[in-house]
Amino acid sequence: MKLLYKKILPYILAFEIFIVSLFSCSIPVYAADFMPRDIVQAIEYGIEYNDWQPFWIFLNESKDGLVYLYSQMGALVTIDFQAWVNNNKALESLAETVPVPAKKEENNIVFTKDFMAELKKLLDDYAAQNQPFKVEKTYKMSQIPASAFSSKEGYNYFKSYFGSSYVYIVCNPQGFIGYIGDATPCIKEGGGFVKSGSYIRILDADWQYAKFSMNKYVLNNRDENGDFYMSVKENFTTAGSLEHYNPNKTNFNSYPQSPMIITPDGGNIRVFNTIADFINYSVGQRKIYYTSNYYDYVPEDLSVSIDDLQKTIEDMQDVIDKLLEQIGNDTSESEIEELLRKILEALENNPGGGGSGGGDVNVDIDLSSTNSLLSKILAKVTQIFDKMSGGTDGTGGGILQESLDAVLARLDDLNAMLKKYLSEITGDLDDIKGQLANMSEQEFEQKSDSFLGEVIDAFSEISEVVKTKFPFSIPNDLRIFLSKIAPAQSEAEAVLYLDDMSGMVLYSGEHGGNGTTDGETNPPGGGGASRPGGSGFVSVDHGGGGGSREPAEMREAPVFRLPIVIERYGIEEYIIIDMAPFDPLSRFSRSFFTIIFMVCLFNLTFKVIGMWGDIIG
Amino acid sequence: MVNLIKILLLKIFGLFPDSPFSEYMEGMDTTFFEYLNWFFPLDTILNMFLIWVNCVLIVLVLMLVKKYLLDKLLGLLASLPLPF
Repeated sequence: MKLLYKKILPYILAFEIFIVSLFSCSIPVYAADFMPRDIVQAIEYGIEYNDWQPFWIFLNESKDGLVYLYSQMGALVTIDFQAWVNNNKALESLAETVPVPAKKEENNIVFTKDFMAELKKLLDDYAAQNQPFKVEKTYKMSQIPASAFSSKEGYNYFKSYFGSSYVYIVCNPQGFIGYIGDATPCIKEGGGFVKSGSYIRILDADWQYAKFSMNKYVLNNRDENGDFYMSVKENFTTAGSLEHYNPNKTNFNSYPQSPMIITPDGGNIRVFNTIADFINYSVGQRKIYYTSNYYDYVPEDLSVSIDDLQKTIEDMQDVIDKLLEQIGNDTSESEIEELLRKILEALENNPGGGGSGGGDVNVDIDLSSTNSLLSKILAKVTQIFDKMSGGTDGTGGGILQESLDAVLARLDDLNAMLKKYLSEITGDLDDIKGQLANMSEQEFEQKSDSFLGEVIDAFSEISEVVKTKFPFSIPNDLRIFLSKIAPAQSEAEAVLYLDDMSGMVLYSGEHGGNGTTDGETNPPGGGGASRPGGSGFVSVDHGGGGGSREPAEMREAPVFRLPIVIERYGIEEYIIIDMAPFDPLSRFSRSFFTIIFMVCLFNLTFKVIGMWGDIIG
Repeated sequence: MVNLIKILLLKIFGLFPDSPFSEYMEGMDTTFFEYLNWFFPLDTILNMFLIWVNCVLIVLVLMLVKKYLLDKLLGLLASLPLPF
């Protein structure tokens, strides 16, 4: 069976090479920027040789790698960040501080906690140098406790004041005299927040300090009976700056005078570093987009499966680009966060394949809950659907229905065509069956033999030609080479002649006989070294006398015959080095190398198939 | 019919160049390979490699077939009229 397989194998290989050659002519080559297989190799290399240089180089050169890692923290970085990393050789410093950036656990890549922490630090450094603003939290309206106010009346007034606006300012909530105002119009018209020492100033659309009106409420008024009552004076004063704003305050009694910036959803606001930064800011300059998760992110091991990573990376940039296009100058931080949440969802939930790509990523991100952008998207989708189905607008006139009808009509045609072909095939089969039924066994055997003989003759002639033609000849060449270096048992009669100058003779048990004489070359079968009867490793043969040996094995142990001939003294001795006692060692060695080769083939298999997968996309 | 196919294939394969290895293979001295083969499994490795190449090629051809069929299917779907 093995011999048969050996003979057939070259033809199968030749045929396959032919087919592959035909197909490979029109295969487009697709090179992705970030190939998880590459990073897996870099990680494996780093673990094996404790050399992470390939990993850092790969990460440095790959755009998608850093984008992906930061997206898992809750931030999206642009190409400018990648350029900054390259220019500042930022990853080189990381290579010194993070000895082991990643591990491989079965089918998962695990980016270590230290690595993620250093990456976050890197982004923070970048933001401090390049981002014109910091993102500050606001207080969520529903989370303001009554204890933030000095009395229940003040708290009740605070709750009653809030409407559907977006940004409210409350000053001195712990005092008996407090101020509360609505900064929303100012911000919506193009104003913004600017850091100025310990102050946060509010600028209007004309880049001047905003002066929005604030109501004053006084809690310690006394009536004629001496009871306290609260009075409110509307539009009492204007405010444009907030001192000692601390968005992380949990103890509301600690700084009674400190103001609060309150939004319905506790979203973030942009606080620009300088007025010039505020004036010069435009969306195009923005380098980083944060979600609230980024600020709450605690570095930990990030584990992601290789398959998921592949799916996610494939179309990540497209998804990001399309959604980021929707950010304009007047998009608030909350809306941006919602947008980012959608991006990450798209990356998490898209099942992969096809045009939009995406994939399942094991990311545990709980993002903020603004619904405004989702509502807009929902409205748009609803509008499109209505148009398609000829719904509320009616402008589409049932386009979807028409298209479905067209598809069904095409499927009907296809179905009819298939039926026709099937009936033809089954008709032919019936004819054949009828002919076979009318045929006697002898006739059938005769006809089948004749047909098979004709086919075999034809193809054996073709195969003879094919195995001499390059590149189809390669398997056959390999087979010939194989038969030369490892002859089968019947061919093991090859006696190796080396003249006495070389002093070595390969033993062949089939040719025991007289030894060589000086100056003569032994013809095959005429002499040569003979394996001595004993089992010694080195023996001395006193000329001539051959021995016998056990039945030949598949691979003969070499016997070296070193002649010592001094004619003057009549000395003709031979030192025979017989390797036969080492046969068990030979078998072990062969098995050992075979196992090593098999392991290499296992590894190579994945690489070859992976590479091929990349080539054909 | 079989003869026609045979002639056609012979003509096609006749266009390919002859193997550049075979003539050198004949006169090659493989003495030391036989020594080597006693403890290093050259024969096993080559056999195994041939079979492995065969298997890998089959896998690759199947992958190509899969891609070809998928492309055809997608092409067919793309040719259908779109709703908008």
